[in-house]
Amino acid sequence: MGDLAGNRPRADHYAGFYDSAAGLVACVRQFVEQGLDDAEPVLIAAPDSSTRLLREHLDGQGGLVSWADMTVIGDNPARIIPAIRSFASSHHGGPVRCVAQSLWTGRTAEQRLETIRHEALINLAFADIPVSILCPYDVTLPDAGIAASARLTHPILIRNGAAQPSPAYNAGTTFPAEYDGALDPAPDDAVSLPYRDDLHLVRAFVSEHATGAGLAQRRIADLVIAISELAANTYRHTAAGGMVSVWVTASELICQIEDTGHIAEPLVGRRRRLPDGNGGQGLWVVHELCDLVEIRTGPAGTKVRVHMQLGPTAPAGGDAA
Amino acid sequence: MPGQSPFAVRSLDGLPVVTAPAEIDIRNASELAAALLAAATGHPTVVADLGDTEFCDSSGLSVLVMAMKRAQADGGELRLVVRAPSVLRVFAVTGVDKVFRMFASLPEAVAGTP
Repeated sequence: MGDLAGNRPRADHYAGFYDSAAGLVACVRQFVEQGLDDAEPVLIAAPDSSTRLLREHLDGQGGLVSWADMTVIGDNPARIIPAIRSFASSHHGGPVRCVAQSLWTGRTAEQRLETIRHEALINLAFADIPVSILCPYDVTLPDAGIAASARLTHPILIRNGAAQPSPAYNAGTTFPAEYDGALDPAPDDAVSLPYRDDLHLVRAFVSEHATGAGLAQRRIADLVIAISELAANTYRHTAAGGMVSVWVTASELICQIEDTGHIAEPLVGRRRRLPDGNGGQGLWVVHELCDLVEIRTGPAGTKVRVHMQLGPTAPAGGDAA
Repeated sequence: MPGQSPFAVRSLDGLPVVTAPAEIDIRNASELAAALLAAATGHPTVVADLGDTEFCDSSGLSVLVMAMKRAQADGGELRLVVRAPSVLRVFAVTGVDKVFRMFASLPEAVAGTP
């Protein structure tokens, strides 16, 4: 996919490194001030801890920007690019600026990896609209790999107010190799069903096992819709059929679709379009309805693994906004 | 109903009504498209009755969007009867709920007044 990546215009995509509360405020203030000076609308999407701090210290600027809780709009990181696009659309297509803090303590390992991959996709996602994005990174977090990942996924790094190109960033790849490995195999206790054209059977299989795992009724409906879309993609794009597997972890129901297809467009499902008969809607629906989606695809085949959180604190899934 | 096609087209108060099946997915979406096209012949406004439809995937949505565009181009409209939460959910996450004229019952759709 390097050829796709290399030919597209890119968003201004900055990683801002900070090691203190004052450092975060200074980094964001500089970015926001520049936007307000240029009369660009500004969105700050961050977890609560950062938002409280920024609201308190951005002084008069705070009232001039839009705010969003990243743990809500970006719980599934695949919904962040659409949220930024939606902000730009609501301001006539830009130019706009966005502070997007998408990694925080408490993200699971799988969420962290998908968020890093999302950061890489930001570089491809705004070919048609002028957007500047600042992603603040706390270098004091115990996961040292997070700041290291930012050097690979951001063309420009900002430290102590100074911007410089990231030497580790490679515009020729979609995902850095470190973050593009195969998914771990499904566990031995996963239940599986091969399918080809009987999508009703796939839906019944998923519904039965999600019910058995105790997933809430409304989330079962969401999962069934999502998996049916993925199985329909198998039907549409392959002759060989596929395999659906379901298993449960300590906190999640996992469902995986595996087939011989190849998803050539890395941004598939991250742009909202009205269904028009040309396809491409399936993965949009999957990202909206599932808590996390892992996609690994290549000429040898595709695995799509979706996560649904179990238990009373599970999120409600994407909404229509 | 025995012997009745799941894509039956009938006429109510002069409007063609296409009755959709219990489940719409990529396997039968093209049949729904054909039924909607047949119903539209000579009738700019068409009713698609998804009142008994419990599941509709994005290929079904594409068919409905295309039927809506055709109806609008002919100076009419596509009116949808939708009830199932799962179908309404797909409509909401794809945004088609903002563009479709939706009704909770067939009489309301035929009358054109919710």
